Amino acid sequence: MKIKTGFRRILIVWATGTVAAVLTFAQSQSALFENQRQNEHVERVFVEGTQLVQLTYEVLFYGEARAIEQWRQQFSEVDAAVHDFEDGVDPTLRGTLDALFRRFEQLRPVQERLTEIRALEPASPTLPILRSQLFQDAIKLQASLRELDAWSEATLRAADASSKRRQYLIFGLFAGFIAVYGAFVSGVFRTVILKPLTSLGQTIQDLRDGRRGRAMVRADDEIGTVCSVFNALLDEQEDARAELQAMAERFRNVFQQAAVGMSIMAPNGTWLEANQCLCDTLVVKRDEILMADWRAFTPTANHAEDAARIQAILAGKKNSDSWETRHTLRDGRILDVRVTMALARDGAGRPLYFVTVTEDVTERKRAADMLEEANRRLHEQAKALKRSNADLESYAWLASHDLREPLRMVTNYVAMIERRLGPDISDDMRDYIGFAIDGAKRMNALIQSLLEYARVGQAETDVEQVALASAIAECVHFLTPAITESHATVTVADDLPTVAGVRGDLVRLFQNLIGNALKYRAAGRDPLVAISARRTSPEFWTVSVADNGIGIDPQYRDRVFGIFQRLHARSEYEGTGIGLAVCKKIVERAGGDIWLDSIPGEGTTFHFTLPAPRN
Amino acid sequence: MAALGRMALIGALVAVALAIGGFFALRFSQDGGDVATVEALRLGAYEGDVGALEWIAKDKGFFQKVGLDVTLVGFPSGNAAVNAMRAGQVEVATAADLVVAKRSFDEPDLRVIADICRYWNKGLIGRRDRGVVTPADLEGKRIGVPATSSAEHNLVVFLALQGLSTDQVTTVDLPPAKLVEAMATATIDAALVWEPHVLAIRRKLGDNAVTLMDGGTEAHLLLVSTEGWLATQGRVARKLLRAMVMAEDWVAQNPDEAKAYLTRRFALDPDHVEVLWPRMQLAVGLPQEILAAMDSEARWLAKSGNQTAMPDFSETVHSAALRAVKPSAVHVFTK
Repeated sequence: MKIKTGFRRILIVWATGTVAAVLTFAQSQSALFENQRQNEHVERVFVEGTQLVQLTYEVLFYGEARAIEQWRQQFSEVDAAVHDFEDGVDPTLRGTLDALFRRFEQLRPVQERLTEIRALEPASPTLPILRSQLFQDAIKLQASLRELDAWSEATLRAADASSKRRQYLIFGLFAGFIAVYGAFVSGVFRTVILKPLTSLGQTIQDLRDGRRGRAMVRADDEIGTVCSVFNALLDEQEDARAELQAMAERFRNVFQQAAVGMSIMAPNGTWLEANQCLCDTLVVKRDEILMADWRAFTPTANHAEDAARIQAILAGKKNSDSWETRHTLRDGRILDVRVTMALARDGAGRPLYFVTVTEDVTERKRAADMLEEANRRLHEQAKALKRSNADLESYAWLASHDLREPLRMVTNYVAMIERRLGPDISDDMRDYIGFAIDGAKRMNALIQSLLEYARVGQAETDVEQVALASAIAECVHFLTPAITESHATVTVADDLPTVAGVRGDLVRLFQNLIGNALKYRAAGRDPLVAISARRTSPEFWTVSVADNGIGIDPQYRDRVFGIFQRLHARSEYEGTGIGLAVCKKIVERAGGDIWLDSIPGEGTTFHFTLPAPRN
Repeated sequence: MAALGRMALIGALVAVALAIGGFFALRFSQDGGDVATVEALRLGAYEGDVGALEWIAKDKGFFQKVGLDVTLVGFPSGNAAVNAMRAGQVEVATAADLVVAKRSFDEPDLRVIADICRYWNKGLIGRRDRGVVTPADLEGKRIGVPATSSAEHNLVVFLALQGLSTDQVTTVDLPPAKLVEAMATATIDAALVWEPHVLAIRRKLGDNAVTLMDGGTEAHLLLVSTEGWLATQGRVARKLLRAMVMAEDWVAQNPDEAKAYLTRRFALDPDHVEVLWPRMQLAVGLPQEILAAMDSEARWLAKSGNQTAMPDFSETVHSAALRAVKPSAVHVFTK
């Protein structure tokens, strides 16, 4: 039960007890007041009756008319007062009242008869009897009045005493209730509040004194909640302390076992802590570092720059800095080091210490120097190679171009010789001339092919985005006569992509592949060429050109891409054997690769990759 | 230390026990130290409603409680009871104030110990067939009344109120039971007597009975003894009064039971008891008015008997006993 609820109930019980006491007291007083009202009535009867008795004596002894008249009026007063007593009169008064009524009622006839006889027969023998009787009746009435008065006083005293007794009883009971209830509340207060608070205080004191402790949770109330929260905070604090300790340990390990030199330096430049790596780097013991400041291990020439950087950090111009400097070892060696320094400040921004990382970059710097030299040499070699390539290409161009001229001369002169000799030359001579001309032509074709191969990549055209469908359409347009002649069918997939490349090269690529499909068609069936493409990687598209030609023996799948490589005799298929070499060169210059799948007698599929255009 | 504390506790308990025992022993000796001594008393009691306290004290064992072995002897009238006392048959008698007033002329040693009932229980019944219909019709008639009783004095007062005197009627002295027979047999024309004889006459006469007076004058039933007896038996007198007070308290606390007792003990009609009950007050006391009443009655008796000497009632009321038992009930002015 919550303390608030408990004490609310305690207050309710206390208030109920108090209200009960007050009501009981009021009821007690009410009974007293009721008694007093009854006694006031009795007092009235007593006063009026006493006056009637006095008047009776006056009538009895003197019989004055005034006294008789007053007696009659007073009798009416008493009659009214006596009959005002209610039925519910106090039972102890009943006997007295009965006597009073009878005595009062007997008074009147005797008085009236006495008055009458006095007036009519003053010497009547009944007169003394009546006088005696009236006297007796008056005395008895007076006695009843005294009884009434005595009863009134007695009941008043009794009522007062009873009221006092009730009050004492009520106050006694209430005081007892207050005492017992107070003791109970005190006990509850002690058990529910004081004990737990004392226990909590003791726990706090134990914690202050460095002893471990936990608050005792005695009940599920507010203090229990406070103790539970306190324990939870203790747990959190303990966890945080352990975590902090672990973290400190980890940092210490990191600090000590770091592969770089680490140190903590005071704002005045003295070292406060240094790890083993720094000691190893500087080849000194830790204590020696801690007894010195940074200048002791820095060449004088570097002091100014290092101090300026440190001052800049201290001045708040930078939070941290990293620069290369040098350290001096005891044996005179100079180390190149990279120092990274950050300043820790307190909550008010005052400098606390520097955290410094010192990295020996001597070797790295030496390697960098060597790498730079190697790069420089490589660059020079690349330039030389480029020049050489250019020369070679130029030579090939020039050679192929210049070679064709003498070849034309040979051809022309052989043709002239044939024409001079006329038709009478022997058949052998004619065959020899034909062989010479044919050889010259083949050589021209070879040179033409070589020139074509050399031209690939020579154009100063930039790489652009080329829609393959467009390039293929252009290619098909060029090959339309051959396609028509051979009754070939070329199908192009609808979803051909746009690739990065040189449009002219790509047209030539498809021209060679489709041309080959037409050339090496299988006997007895019309050629079919199908072109498709698919994305095989984020960077490349793979394009496939499939035919139903004679196919290629798998053992020649690499050879076919060589220059002037032929798988068939010239008598079977014309050509120089340069087409697929050109294809290979175009694809590879575009950054792709080319290969083939083939089943001899069924057909060949050439696959090549082309780069997807970059955004 | 613990043993010392235990001893102190035991001592305190013993002291408390002794104190409680002493207190009750003292109370016992004060309230009824003489209870252990049972003393005999013969009491001549009026055998009727107004004498109920004596019979209640006897039947409820109050006499035993106070250490009295009371022999109750019933009498139809106070005068008969006092006669028995004088005859040595009883030590204490009960009688109306008039009886004491009348006998005091010749018996000055009579002593009133207490008033045990004041009552208005008398009635005057006339025989219709004898022409007694109104009080005025009594003139010249034979009126039966027990002599030396409160009824006798009541008749005088009643007649005076009607303008008559005893000389104008013929009074016939008859004991109560005889009066009933006399009325039934028309030996007398009217009768003035107390209950339950009034009711008996009514029952006998039926419609022939005419009630001329109902209740009558006030009378007191007194416990009476003699000076000599009181001089030696004061303790018995106190016991007697203590038992009577017990009976009074019982009646006050149990009025319905008391009425039922009256009905049973004196063979009364319950409805009649309801009528009688407010006319009789069973209470032990010594009121001043009994002296005045006796004086008044004595004056009439002296005049009617042509006696010159009046009894002196200054010593007649013996208040010491009641003052010892219940001081608050003593209202006579004599200290």
